[in-house]
Amino acid sequence: MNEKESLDLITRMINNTRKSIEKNAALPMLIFGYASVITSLAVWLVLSFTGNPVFYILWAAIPMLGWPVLGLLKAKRSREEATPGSYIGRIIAKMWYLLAGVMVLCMIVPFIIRGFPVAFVMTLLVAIGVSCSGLFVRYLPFIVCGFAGILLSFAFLWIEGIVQSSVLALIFLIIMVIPGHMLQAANNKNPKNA
Amino acid sequence: MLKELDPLLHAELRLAVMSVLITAEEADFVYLQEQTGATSGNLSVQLDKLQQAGYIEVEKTFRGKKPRTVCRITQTGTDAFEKYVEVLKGYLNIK
Repeated sequence: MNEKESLDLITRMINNTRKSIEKNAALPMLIFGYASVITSLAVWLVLSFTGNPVFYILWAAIPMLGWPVLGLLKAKRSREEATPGSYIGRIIAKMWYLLAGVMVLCMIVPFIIRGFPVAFVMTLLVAIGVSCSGLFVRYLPFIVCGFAGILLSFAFLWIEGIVQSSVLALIFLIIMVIPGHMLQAANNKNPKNA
Repeated sequence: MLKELDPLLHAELRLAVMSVLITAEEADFVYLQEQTGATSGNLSVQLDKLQQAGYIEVEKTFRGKKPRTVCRITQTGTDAFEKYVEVLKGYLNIK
C-alpha cells in the first residue's frame, strides 16, 4: 500500500461511516414530522368542530406517539443491521431531549399565562432543532428547511385562533417531513448506506 | 527528512478500522466487517494487534441473546492516527 492509497482508504472509510451516521437522522425527522403534522390537523379539525379549548391537550400526542414509535423502529433497525454509534449522533439526541423538555413546558405555560405565543415558540424551537441537526451532520436540506421554519415561525405573531393549527401542520411538513424524505431518498439511492 | 509511517497503522485493514473508529464513537464487529470486507478471522487478529498497542479498546457485550463486540478508539489511538495523517501529508506534499 503506497501513501496515496492510504489516504484514499482513509477518505473512503471516513465518508462511508459519516453516511451511515447521517442516515440515522432521517428516521426521527420522519416519525416526529408525521406525528406533528397529523396531530396539528387533528387539533385543527377537533377545535373547528367543537370549539372546546380543552382539546389543546391533543398536542401531547406528538411525544406520546413519536417516542414509542421511534424506540421500536430503532430497536428493530439495530437488530437487523450494524450501525456505528457516534459522538455527533449523541449530541443531536441530547439537543432534541432538551428541546423536547422545553416544548413540554411551553405546552403547560398557556394554561397559566394567557396570550403566551405557544405556536411561535414551538415552531421556533423545532426549526432551530432541525437547523442544528443539519449543521451537525452537514446536510443542506435540513439547514435550509430549518432556517425557513425559523422565518415562518414569526408568522404566528400575526396568525391567531384555530387556524394556527392548520398552518403548523404545513410548517411541520416543510421543515421535517420533506427534508426527512429527501435524506431517506438519498440513502436509498446508495444501497450501501440505505 | 520524512518521518517513518507508523507500521502498525500502515496496513490496509488496520488503517481501515482506525479510519472508521476515528469517525464513529464506537462500532461493532459486524459493522467493521461490512465496511472493510475482511474475514472474521483476519479482522479479529488485526483488532487484537490494535488493542495490544493501546490504539483501541474492545468490549464484549450482549444484544439480546447475541454476543456483540464493540470497538472504540482510545486517546493513544487518536494521537497515533493524527500523527500518521500528518506524516502522510508530508509524503504527499499536502499542507
